Amino acid sequence: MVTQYAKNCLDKLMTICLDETFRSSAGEVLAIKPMDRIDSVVQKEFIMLTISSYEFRICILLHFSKDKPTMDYVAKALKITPDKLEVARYYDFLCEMGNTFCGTFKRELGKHFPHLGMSTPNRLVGSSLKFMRELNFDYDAHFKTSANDNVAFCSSVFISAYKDFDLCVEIKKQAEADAENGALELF
Amino acid sequence: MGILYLLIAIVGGVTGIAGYQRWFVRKHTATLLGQIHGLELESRDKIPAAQLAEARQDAAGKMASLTGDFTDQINLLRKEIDQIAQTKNDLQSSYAVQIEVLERKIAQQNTSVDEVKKQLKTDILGLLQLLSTISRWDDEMMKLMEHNGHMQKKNQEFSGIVKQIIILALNASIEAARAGEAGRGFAVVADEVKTLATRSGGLSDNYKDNLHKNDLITTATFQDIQASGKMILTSIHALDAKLEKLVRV
Repeated sequence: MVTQYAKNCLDKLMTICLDETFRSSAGEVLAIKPMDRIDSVVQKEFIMLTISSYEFRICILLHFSKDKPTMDYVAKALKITPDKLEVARYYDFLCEMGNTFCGTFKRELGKHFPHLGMSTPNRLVGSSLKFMRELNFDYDAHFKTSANDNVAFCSSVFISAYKDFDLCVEIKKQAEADAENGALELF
Repeated sequence: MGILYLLIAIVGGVTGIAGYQRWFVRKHTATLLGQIHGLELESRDKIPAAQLAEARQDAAGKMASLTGDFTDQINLLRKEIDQIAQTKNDLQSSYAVQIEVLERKIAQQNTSVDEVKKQLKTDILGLLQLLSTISRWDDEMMKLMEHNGHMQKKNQEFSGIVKQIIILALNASIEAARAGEAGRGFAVVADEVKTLATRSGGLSDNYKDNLHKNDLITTATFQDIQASGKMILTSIHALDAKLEKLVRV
């Protein structure tokens, strides 16, 4: 069973990890808003990663579409012109982004759960998404991350708990941490 | 006033009489003590020599008896000291033997612990080979995903063929209708073909869905295995680090 407090903490953790991921991957902080239902996800593909422990399993999804605004966004992050962006590089970038996202999530969870392992990313088509329900997760949450009217990513977290799952997240957004560690900026 | 002088005279007289009495008593006490001392000296000179010799002999006898007693006690104590020394030596010898036995046992146990440490190290190194197993799973999973992708493509081809068959069946129905009475039998066949093609299309869609489901379940299962494997590897590494510390002790 996942406690309500743990659900709130997972949501908070998602927001913070998304913020940190987009900051480090694309150098840009996007607006992050929660979504009510997974059915609202319109992106055509997603990157999937898993964090496993003997107490729980967490799946992290990063939804995207291979459309012009997203490819422009990735090209800008890679500091190349969109016409130079190859498909393989586009997917590699998004897989790496998913890796960073899941890695940040694992790092924070690792403060509470010492035994964790993380998978490598895999890319799946959006048509597979509707079958996530059949994997019997105890809780799921979804977020929309947008930079402007054109570019939008979505992300999801799914958790299956094999024991009672509780979590107390005491983490700060990178921006807050930077502000507090002002001295570091001097170096 | 006269009474006051009289009282002073009486007090003075009484005080003078008391002082005289004290002087008188002291003087006669000293005289008496001197007389007693003289009498004592005279009495000592009057004790007979025989009595004195007897007293001396008696005292010497008692002294000899006491000396004998003391000698006996000293001998007894010496015996006890010797016994204690003997016991001490016996204990020392016994402890030396026991210490030697214990040292031998500790040395044996240390050898045994070293062997266990070596065995554990070998086992841990063996367990770390799990990494290659995970890598193999990764390859197999990628093959499975590629295979699913291949099946998706084939299914898309099949779906395209089915759509073409439906169009052909429709065309056949139109041509049969143009042929009138002569084409009636052909129209029935065209309808049958269209029905079969539509059912094939439904099956193809269902197959496509199942392939997507297959992709998701395969990925989720593989990722769980992969992540759990890494969790085990991390734990083994942590165990290895602890063992390293133990080996250095």
